[in-house]
Amino acid sequence: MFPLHLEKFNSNNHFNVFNMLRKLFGFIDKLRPEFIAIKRLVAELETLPKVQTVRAIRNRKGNSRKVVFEILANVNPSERIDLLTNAIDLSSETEWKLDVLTRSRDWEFQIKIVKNFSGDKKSQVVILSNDRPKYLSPAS
Amino acid sequence: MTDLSIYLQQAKANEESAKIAQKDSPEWAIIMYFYAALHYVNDYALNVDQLDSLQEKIESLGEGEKIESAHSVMRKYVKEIDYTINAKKELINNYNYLFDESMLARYLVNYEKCLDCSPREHYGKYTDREFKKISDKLEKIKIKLQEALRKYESSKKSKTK
Repeated sequence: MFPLHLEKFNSNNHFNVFNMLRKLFGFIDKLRPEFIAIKRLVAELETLPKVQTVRAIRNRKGNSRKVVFEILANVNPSERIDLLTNAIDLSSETEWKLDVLTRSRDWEFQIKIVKNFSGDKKSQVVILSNDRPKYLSPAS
Repeated sequence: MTDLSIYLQQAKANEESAKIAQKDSPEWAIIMYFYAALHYVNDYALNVDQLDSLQEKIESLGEGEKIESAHSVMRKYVKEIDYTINAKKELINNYNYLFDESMLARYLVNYEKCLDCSPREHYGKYTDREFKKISDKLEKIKIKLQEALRKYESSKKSKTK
Protein backbone atom coordinates (compact mmCIF):
# COMPACT_ATOMS: atom_id res chain seq x y z
CA MET A 1 0.00 0.00 0.00
CA PHE A 2 1.31 3.49 -0.90
CA PRO A 3 2.08 5.51 2.28
CA LEU A 4 0.70 9.05 2.27
CA HIS A 5 3.14 10.39 4.95
CA LEU A 6 0.70 13.07 6.02
CA GLU A 7 3.03 14.01 8.92
CA LYS A 8 5.50 15.52 6.42
CA PHE A 9 3.05 18.14 5.29
CA ASN A 10 2.85 21.41 7.14
CA SER A 11 -0.45 22.24 8.81
CA ASN A 12 -1.96 24.17 5.89
CA ASN A 13 -1.00 21.48 3.42
CA HIS A 14 -2.39 18.86 5.76
CA PHE A 15 -5.77 20.51 5.56
CA ASN A 16 -5.49 20.74 1.78
CA VAL A 17 -4.72 17.03 1.56
CA PHE A 18 -7.52 16.28 3.99
CA ASN A 19 -9.97 18.31 1.92
CA MET A 20 -8.75 16.69 -1.27
CA LEU A 21 -9.24 13.20 0.20
CA ARG A 22 -12.65 14.15 1.49
CA LYS A 23 -13.69 15.34 -1.96
CA LEU A 24 -12.27 12.18 -3.51
CA PHE A 25 -14.15 9.93 -1.09
CA GLY A 26 -17.26 11.99 -1.64
CA PHE A 27 -16.96 11.33 -5.35
CA ILE A 28 -16.32 7.61 -4.78
CA ASP A 29 -19.33 7.45 -2.46
CA LYS A 30 -21.53 8.71 -5.28
CA LEU A 31 -20.50 5.64 -7.29
CA ARG A 32 -21.25 3.16 -4.50
CA PRO A 33 -24.17 0.83 -5.28
CA GLU A 34 -25.83 1.73 -1.97
CA PHE A 35 -25.84 5.40 -2.90
CA ILE A 36 -27.06 4.67 -6.43
CA ALA A 37 -29.90 2.52 -5.05
CA ILE A 38 -30.92 5.25 -2.59
CA LYS A 39 -30.77 7.85 -5.35
CA ARG A 40 -32.96 5.67 -7.57
CA LEU A 41 -35.45 5.18 -4.74
CA VAL A 42 -35.64 8.93 -4.13
CA ALA A 43 -36.41 9.40 -7.84
CA GLU A 44 -39.08 6.67 -7.72
CA LEU A 45 -40.71 8.17 -4.65
CA GLU A 46 -40.83 11.53 -6.40
CA THR A 47 -43.00 10.02 -9.15
CA LEU A 48 -45.78 9.14 -6.69
CA PRO A 49 -48.93 11.29 -6.89
CA LYS A 50 -48.87 14.60 -4.98
CA VAL A 51 -45.17 14.29 -4.10
CA GLN A 52 -43.18 17.52 -4.46
CA THR A 53 -39.73 16.27 -3.54
CA VAL A 54 -37.97 13.68 -1.39
CA ARG A 55 -34.80 13.63 0.68
CA ALA A 56 -32.89 10.89 2.48
CA ILE A 57 -31.56 11.37 6.01
CA ARG A 58 -29.59 9.30 8.47
CA ASN A 59 -28.21 9.79 11.95
CA ARG A 60 -24.56 10.85 12.24
CA LYS A 61 -23.99 8.16 14.86
CA GLY A 62 -25.42 4.68 15.25
CA ASN A 63 -26.76 2.45 12.49
CA SER A 64 -25.73 4.09 9.22
CA ARG A 65 -27.99 1.69 7.35
CA LYS A 66 -31.06 3.20 8.94
CA VAL A 67 -32.30 5.78 6.46
CA VAL A 68 -35.37 8.00 6.74
CA PHE A 69 -36.96 9.17 3.50
CA GLU A 70 -38.85 12.40 3.97
CA ILE A 71 -41.53 12.90 1.37
CA LEU A 72 -42.68 16.47 0.93
CA ALA A 73 -46.35 16.33 -0.06
CA ASN A 74 -49.56 18.19 0.50
CA VAL A 75 -52.12 15.44 1.02
CA ASN A 76 -55.38 14.99 2.88
CA PRO A 77 -55.72 12.23 5.51
CA SER A 78 -57.14 9.72 3.03
CA GLU A 79 -54.49 10.45 0.38
CA ARG A 80 -51.84 10.21 3.09
CA ILE A 81 -52.76 6.57 3.79
CA ASP A 82 -52.36 5.63 0.11
CA LEU A 83 -49.16 7.61 -0.33
CA LEU A 84 -47.57 6.11 2.77
CA THR A 85 -48.64 2.61 1.71
CA ASN A 86 -47.17 3.02 -1.79
CA ALA A 87 -44.00 4.64 -0.48
CA ILE A 88 -43.39 1.84 2.04
CA ASP A 89 -43.90 -0.74 -0.74
CA LEU A 90 -41.30 1.00 -2.92
CA SER A 91 -38.81 1.56 -0.11
CA SER A 92 -38.89 -2.04 1.06
CA GLU A 93 -38.02 -3.21 -2.47
CA THR A 94 -34.82 -1.18 -2.31
CA GLU A 95 -34.15 -2.09 1.32
CA TRP A 96 -34.27 -5.79 0.45
CA LYS A 97 -32.10 -5.34 -2.63
CA LEU A 98 -29.48 -3.70 -0.42
CA ASP A 99 -29.78 -6.53 2.10
CA VAL A 100 -28.94 -8.96 -0.71
CA LEU A 101 -26.18 -6.73 -2.06
CA THR A 102 -24.50 -6.31 1.32
CA ARG A 103 -25.32 -9.85 2.49
CA SER A 104 -27.01 -8.56 5.60
CA ARG A 105 -30.49 -7.82 6.86
CA ASP A 106 -29.48 -4.59 8.53
CA TRP A 107 -30.95 -2.00 6.18
CA GLU A 108 -33.84 -0.18 7.74
CA PHE A 109 -35.74 2.33 5.66
CA GLN A 110 -38.44 4.50 7.12
CA ILE A 111 -40.87 6.76 5.30
CA LYS A 112 -42.12 10.07 6.63
CA ILE A 113 -44.61 12.25 4.81
CA VAL A 114 -43.87 15.83 5.78
CA LYS A 115 -45.25 19.30 5.12
CA ASN A 116 -41.81 20.94 5.22
CA PHE A 117 -38.13 20.13 5.62
CA SER A 118 -37.64 22.30 8.69
CA GLY A 119 -36.34 21.35 12.14
CA ASP A 120 -33.28 19.34 11.13
CA LYS A 121 -31.41 17.95 14.11
CA LYS A 122 -27.64 18.25 14.54
CA SER A 123 -27.54 14.49 15.03
CA GLN A 124 -28.85 13.97 11.49
CA VAL A 125 -27.24 14.31 8.10
CA VAL A 126 -29.02 14.75 4.79
CA ILE A 127 -27.44 12.19 2.49
CA LEU A 128 -29.49 12.96 -0.58
CA SER A 129 -31.76 15.76 -1.57
CA ASN A 130 -32.50 17.29 -4.93
CA ASP A 131 -32.12 20.67 -3.30
CA ARG A 132 -28.88 19.97 -1.47
CA PRO A 133 -26.89 17.01 -2.81
CA LYS A 134 -24.61 15.48 -0.19
CA TYR A 135 -22.74 12.23 0.02
CA LEU A 136 -22.76 9.17 2.22
CA SER A 137 -19.82 9.38 4.57
CA PRO A 138 -16.97 6.88 3.98
CA ALA A 139 -17.79 5.35 7.36
CA SER A 140 -21.30 4.37 6.29
CA MET B 1 -59.86 -21.24 31.21
CA THR B 2 -58.85 -20.34 27.69
CA ASP B 3 -56.18 -22.11 25.64
CA LEU B 4 -55.17 -18.85 23.99
CA SER B 5 -51.73 -17.49 24.89
CA ILE B 6 -51.57 -14.26 26.86
CA TYR B 7 -50.21 -12.57 23.72
CA LEU B 8 -53.07 -13.75 21.55
CA GLN B 9 -55.58 -12.68 24.17
CA GLN B 10 -53.95 -9.23 24.37
CA ALA B 11 -53.74 -8.95 20.58
CA LYS B 12 -57.47 -9.64 20.28
CA ALA B 13 -58.27 -7.24 23.13
CA ASN B 14 -56.18 -4.51 21.48
CA GLU B 15 -57.89 -5.11 18.15
CA GLU B 16 -61.27 -4.83 19.82
CA SER B 17 -60.17 -1.64 21.65
CA ALA B 18 -58.96 -0.19 18.35
CA LYS B 19 -62.39 -0.63 16.79
CA ILE B 20 -64.11 0.94 19.80
CA ALA B 21 -61.64 3.86 19.92
CA GLN B 22 -62.12 4.79 16.25
CA LYS B 23 -65.00 7.12 17.09
CA ASP B 24 -63.89 9.02 20.21
CA SER B 25 -60.12 8.48 20.46
CA PRO B 26 -59.04 7.91 16.87
CA GLU B 27 -55.31 8.36 17.58
CA TRP B 28 -55.57 5.57 20.16
CA ALA B 29 -57.24 3.39 17.54
CA ILE B 30 -54.08 3.74 15.43
CA ILE B 31 -51.88 2.91 18.43
CA MET B 32 -53.99 -0.09 19.40
CA TYR B 33 -53.95 -1.48 15.85
CA PHE B 34 -50.16 -1.47 16.04
CA TYR B 35 -50.07 -3.05 19.51
CA ALA B 36 -52.48 -5.72 18.28
CA ALA B 37 -50.01 -6.46 15.46
CA LEU B 38 -47.10 -6.53 17.93
CA HIS B 39 -48.82 -9.10 20.14
CA TYR B 40 -49.85 -11.24 17.16
CA VAL B 41 -46.13 -11.35 16.34
CA ASN B 42 -45.31 -12.21 19.98
CA ASP B 43 -47.87 -15.00 19.86
CA TYR B 44 -46.26 -16.35 16.69
CA ALA B 45 -42.81 -16.17 18.34
CA LEU B 46 -44.16 -18.09 21.34
CA ASN B 47 -45.61 -20.80 19.11
CA VAL B 48 -42.35 -21.29 17.23
CA ASP B 49 -40.20 -21.22 20.40
CA GLN B 50 -38.48 -17.96 19.51
CA LEU B 51 -40.03 -15.66 22.08
CA ASP B 52 -37.29 -16.12 24.70
CA SER B 53 -34.49 -15.31 22.28
CA LEU B 54 -36.45 -12.33 20.98
CA GLN B 55 -36.98 -10.98 24.49
CA GLU B 56 -33.33 -11.62 25.39
CA LYS B 57 -32.28 -9.47 22.45
CA ILE B 58 -34.55 -6.66 23.63
CA GLU B 59 -33.47 -6.96 27.28
CA SER B 60 -29.79 -6.83 26.33
CA LEU B 61 -30.22 -3.35 24.79
CA GLY B 62 -28.77 -0.33 26.62
CA GLU B 63 -31.13 1.87 28.65
CA GLY B 64 -30.87 4.85 26.31
CA GLU B 65 -31.72 2.88 23.19
CA LYS B 66 -34.59 0.79 24.51
CA ILE B 67 -37.70 2.32 22.98
CA GLU B 68 -36.39 2.80 19.46
CA SER B 69 -34.19 -0.27 19.37
CA ALA B 70 -36.70 -2.65 20.92
CA HIS B 71 -38.93 -1.81 17.99
CA SER B 72 -35.97 -2.23 15.62
CA VAL B 73 -35.44 -5.75 17.00
CA MET B 74 -39.12 -6.56 16.45
CA ARG B 75 -39.04 -5.06 12.98
CA LYS B 76 -36.02 -7.17 12.07
CA TYR B 77 -37.77 -10.25 13.42
CA VAL B 78 -40.89 -9.55 11.35
CA LYS B 79 -38.65 -9.05 8.32
CA GLU B 80 -37.12 -12.50 9.00
CA ILE B 81 -40.58 -14.09 9.09
CA ASP B 82 -41.42 -12.39 5.80
CA TYR B 83 -38.22 -13.79 4.25
CA THR B 84 -38.97 -17.26 5.65
CA ILE B 85 -42.44 -17.57 4.16
CA ASN B 86 -41.68 -15.55 1.05
CA ALA B 87 -44.52 -13.19 1.87
CA LYS B 88 -43.29 -10.73 -0.74
CA LYS B 89 -43.01 -8.02 1.92
CA GLU B 90 -46.74 -8.04 2.62
CA LEU B 91 -46.09 -8.83 6.27
CA ILE B 92 -43.27 -6.38 6.93
CA ASN B 93 -44.77 -3.53 4.90
CA ASN B 94 -48.06 -3.62 6.78
CA TYR B 95 -46.26 -4.00 10.10
CA ASN B 96 -44.02 -1.00 9.28
CA TYR B 97 -47.02 1.07 8.31
CA LEU B 98 -48.75 0.47 11.64
CA PHE B 99 -45.51 1.00 13.55
CA ASP B 100 -44.69 4.32 11.86
CA GLU B 101 -48.20 5.64 12.37
CA SER B 102 -48.27 4.56 16.00
CA MET B 103 -45.02 6.44 16.64
CA LEU B 104 -46.63 9.55 15.21
CA ALA B 105 -49.89 9.07 17.13
CA ARG B 106 -48.37 7.99 20.44
CA TYR B 107 -45.02 9.74 20.79
CA LEU B 108 -45.89 12.64 18.46
CA VAL B 109 -42.58 12.03 16.68
CA ASN B 110 -42.11 15.06 14.41
CA TYR B 111 -45.87 15.50 14.34
CA GLU B 112 -45.66 19.26 13.66
CA LYS B 113 -43.58 18.48 10.61
CA CYS B 114 -45.96 15.76 9.43
CA LEU B 115 -49.46 16.94 10.28
CA ASP B 116 -51.49 20.15 10.02
CA CYS B 117 -53.09 19.52 13.38
CA SER B 118 -52.87 17.27 16.44
CA PRO B 119 -52.96 13.49 15.86
CA ARG B 120 -56.42 13.39 17.47
CA GLU B 121 -57.74 15.93 14.96
CA HIS B 122 -55.91 14.29 12.06
CA TYR B 123 -57.12 10.73 12.69
CA GLY B 124 -60.50 12.18 13.65
CA LYS B 125 -60.91 13.02 9.96
CA TYR B 126 -60.83 9.32 9.13
CA THR B 127 -64.16 7.88 8.06
CA ASP B 128 -65.01 4.17 8.24
CA ARG B 129 -63.40 3.89 4.80
CA GLU B 130 -60.00 5.08 6.07
CA PHE B 131 -60.16 2.95 9.21
CA LYS B 132 -61.04 -0.03 7.02
CA LYS B 133 -57.76 0.50 5.18
CA ILE B 134 -55.93 0.45 8.53
CA SER B 135 -57.73 -2.61 9.88
CA ASP B 136 -57.08 -4.39 6.56
CA LYS B 137 -53.37 -3.97 7.24
CA LEU B 138 -53.76 -5.80 10.54
CA GLU B 139 -55.80 -8.52 8.80
CA LYS B 140 -53.01 -9.04 6.26
CA ILE B 141 -50.47 -9.32 9.09
CA LYS B 142 -52.63 -11.95 10.81
CA ILE B 143 -53.02 -13.96 7.60
CA LYS B 144 -49.28 -13.95 6.92
CA LEU B 145 -48.45 -14.95 10.51
CA GLN B 146 -50.92 -17.85 10.26
CA GLU B 147 -49.21 -18.89 7.03
CA ALA B 148 -45.84 -18.73 8.76
CA LEU B 149 -47.11 -20.82 11.66
CA ARG B 150 -48.55 -23.45 9.31
CA LYS B 151 -45.21 -23.60 7.52
CA TYR B 152 -43.37 -24.04 10.83
CA GLU B 153 -45.75 -26.78 11.99
CA SER B 154 -45.55 -28.71 8.74
CA SER B 155 -41.74 -28.57 8.74
CA LYS B 156 -41.73 -29.73 12.38
CA LYS B 157 -43.99 -32.65 11.49
CA SER B 158 -41.84 -33.67 8.55
CA LYS B 159 -38.74 -33.65 10.80
CA THR B 160 -40.34 -35.93 13.38
CA LYS B 161 -41.42 -38.51 10.75
